[in-house]
Amino acid sequence: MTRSSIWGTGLLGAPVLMLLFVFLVLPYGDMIAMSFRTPANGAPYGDAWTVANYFRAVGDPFYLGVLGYTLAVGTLIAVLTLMLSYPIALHLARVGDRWHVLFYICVVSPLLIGVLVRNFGWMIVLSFSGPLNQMLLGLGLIQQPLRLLFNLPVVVLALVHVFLPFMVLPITNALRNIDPALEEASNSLGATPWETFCRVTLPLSLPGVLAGVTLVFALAMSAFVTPALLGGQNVVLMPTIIIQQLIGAFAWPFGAALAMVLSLAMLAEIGLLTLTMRRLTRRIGRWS
Amino acid sequence: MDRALRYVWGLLLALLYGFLLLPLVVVVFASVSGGQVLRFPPEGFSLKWYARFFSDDTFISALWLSLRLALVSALVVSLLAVTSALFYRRLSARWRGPFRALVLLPLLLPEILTAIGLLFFLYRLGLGSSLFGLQISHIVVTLPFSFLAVTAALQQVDPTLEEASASLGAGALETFARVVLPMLRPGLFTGALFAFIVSFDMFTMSFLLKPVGGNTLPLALFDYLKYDFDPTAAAAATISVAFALVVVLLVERSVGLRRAF
Amino acid sequence: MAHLEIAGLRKAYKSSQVIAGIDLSVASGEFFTLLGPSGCGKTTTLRCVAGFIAPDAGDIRVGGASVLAMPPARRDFGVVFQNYALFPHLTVAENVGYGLRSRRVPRDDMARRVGEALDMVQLSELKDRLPRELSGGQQQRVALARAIVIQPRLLLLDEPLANLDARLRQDLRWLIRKVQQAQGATAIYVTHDHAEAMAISDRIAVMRQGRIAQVGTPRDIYQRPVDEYVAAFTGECNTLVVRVTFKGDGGRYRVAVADTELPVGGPLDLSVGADCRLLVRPESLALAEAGAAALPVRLDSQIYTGAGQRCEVLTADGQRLVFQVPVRRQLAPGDALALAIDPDQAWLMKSAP
Repeated sequence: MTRSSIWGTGLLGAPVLMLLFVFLVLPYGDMIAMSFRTPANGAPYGDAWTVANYFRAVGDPFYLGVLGYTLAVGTLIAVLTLMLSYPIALHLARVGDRWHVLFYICVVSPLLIGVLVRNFGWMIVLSFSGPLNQMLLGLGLIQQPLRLLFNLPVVVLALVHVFLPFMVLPITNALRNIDPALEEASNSLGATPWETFCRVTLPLSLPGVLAGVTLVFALAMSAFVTPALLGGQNVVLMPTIIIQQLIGAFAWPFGAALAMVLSLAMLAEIGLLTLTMRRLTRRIGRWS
Repeated sequence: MDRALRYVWGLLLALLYGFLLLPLVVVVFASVSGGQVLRFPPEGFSLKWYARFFSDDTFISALWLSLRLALVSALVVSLLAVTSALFYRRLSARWRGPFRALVLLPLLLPEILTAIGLLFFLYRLGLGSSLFGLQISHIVVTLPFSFLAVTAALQQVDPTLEEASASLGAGALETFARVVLPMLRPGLFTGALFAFIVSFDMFTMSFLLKPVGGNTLPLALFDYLKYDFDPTAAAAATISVAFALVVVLLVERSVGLRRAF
Repeated sequence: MAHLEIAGLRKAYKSSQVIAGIDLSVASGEFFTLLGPSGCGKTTTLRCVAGFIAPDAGDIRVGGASVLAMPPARRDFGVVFQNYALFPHLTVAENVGYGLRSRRVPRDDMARRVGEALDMVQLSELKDRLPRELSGGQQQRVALARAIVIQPRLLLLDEPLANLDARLRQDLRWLIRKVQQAQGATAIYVTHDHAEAMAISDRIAVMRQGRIAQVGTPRDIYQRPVDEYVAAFTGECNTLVVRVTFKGDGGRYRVAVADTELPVGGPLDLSVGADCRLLVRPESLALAEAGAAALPVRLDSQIYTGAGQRCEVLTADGQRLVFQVPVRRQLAPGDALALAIDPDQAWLMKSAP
């Protein structure tokens, strides 16, 4: 490279690198540092350093319980999302060009309307005078409207709803990358459509499945707004606790430590998942 | 047997797509309800809730703030994305991965972590609860979208075109302005639109970094829902949705949704 | 117009030496071709001249002054690329006028010069079209017009016809030559097609593995190649292993091949007793008239090609020759024949070391 082009490169990269270093790298660093500080009265954090926050985060059975609960809920959401997403992904991958846009918008729509509007919609649907209650009443299945909000199933439902696009899109991509000739070959060799699906399509789509599951799991573990709005006091997950510590209790060091513990737990489970899937995907690696 | 299976499959798909669209449909219909109470199906048709929305100062100023934040984000992020994409292209293969990961960090990590980190950091800088802090956080979080769109577009530009331009006497700046930039336009446009939408709908970040006395539209809606549960909120929500729809249509018109991703 | 000098050019990528020392000189107004197979370094050399690649060593001088320190934008060369490199968002006229606009040529002047350039390549009616609406041949003509309209010091063409079909290649090569001569431009042309090179070049440099094997006019290269590589690359050839038995004046020799002695031509620096290669192109071979000095051979196979019979024969010591025989001659494999070799066309080459 010539000297002038090194200057040019520097000039191009400087704004972005400065912005990201100051307002991304330093804040993350600050958060890690914060988790090692002592708490204080009247201020968000104290002057000294300590590891006590971590001991409390992992040692206190309450917080450990919440962590485990969050991990379990996250896994449940990932699995449910996968089950609902796969049929949609199959459809989206096969649909013709003219219809593709329409269905694509349908799939992406939960993302585009923002978390608040989504949850608001669920609140309307599931409210006392909402359509679901009305339908159940009308069908004679219940005598009185049910209190459908502020419980875990509703939170899971709403989260699965918003995470569907995140699962559908990677799987759709993986499916579209499968050479159609492979399925034709399978059929010509005598396999039924179900067999072809199990032995050819599904395995070859695993890289997309893994990507989707990883993404959804991470998102589910860090969901805050939906559990707050639709779960209220009855659904206590890690992000909720963390925000409480930060905004409510003004205990920033402990909140930071909880956030770090959550992140580490998330990374651990994702790592585990990736490793176990690696044996499966290694054979298919070239197609992903 | 085959036909029955196809019907079942079709029904399943219809249910799933219906599930995807349900909250959206419900909110839009509720916003034009003629009655007093938030219910679905609505009784009658009326636009009075929109009138309520537009005459409510809290909502209007929140809408205004959201629009400003989103516009500034889209503009700044587009500019940064262009310089970053050019920078990225000049990097050797070794540095490309790390740089890309850095820019995409807000996408890769949970939003709540980024929000918390910024909360601490801005507070220590004295910028906690400031408009500037909130704007910066929006920029940092929407940059990945624009970066992805612009780098993808830049990759499509044939390098021999730039060589041809140079051989004809155009310097680096002129080559960029006359050859590269026009070809980046679709990617820039897409990236800017997505940045706009993401900023407009952002909740968690704005929740933690809220400027004193100010509210974005999602935050105003959140506050409103804590006390009132009437269709004005649905009107506010539908307006957000309308923006999103406009964005999607603009992207589809200019670039095509398939190519945008 | 300027003349070009390349001295001691070297360029290496990772572990391979792509250009291993190139020296050449091109006169003003000359059409000079770099000919060779892919990987021989000809395109790399051209790109060094254009300024897209910086050489590791050596100098490139145009009009006496070195251009190495100049970026491509300031060298004032017109480049025609293999993939045309037309700006897809600009019309034909805007593409052609691109370099003029960079040079701040006034609007009327620009329109006039663009019009003239388009006339020269016969594309005036298409001036408002976009590149994607044109065929490959039309796009290449636009690229040519774009490169010459700026009246460059050097015209550099990097295998411009390689992506076109055979018929188009024939037509366009004449257009390129015509345009170059009309402008009096000094042109450096890169190709792997020897017929193309010989048809339009003033001089050719045959390249091999980063070096120049031979420089000369098409006639020189074809009739007086310096070794088997050059001979084989420029056309169909037969080579015989022979030994020099007699050295005459002015490059006349006698050689022994399979117990026969033949008169041939060759370079001046061969010595008696040397083992050499004799180049006998198929067109220099014919069935001998009775009594004439000839090489005895045995017919191995013959193929009817419509225009004649393509015969493969073997000499007494087992060397193979190919040549064309008129259709009316009746031949059968195994026949003993006498082969007449034109002494003016037979040419000696040094054996490869």
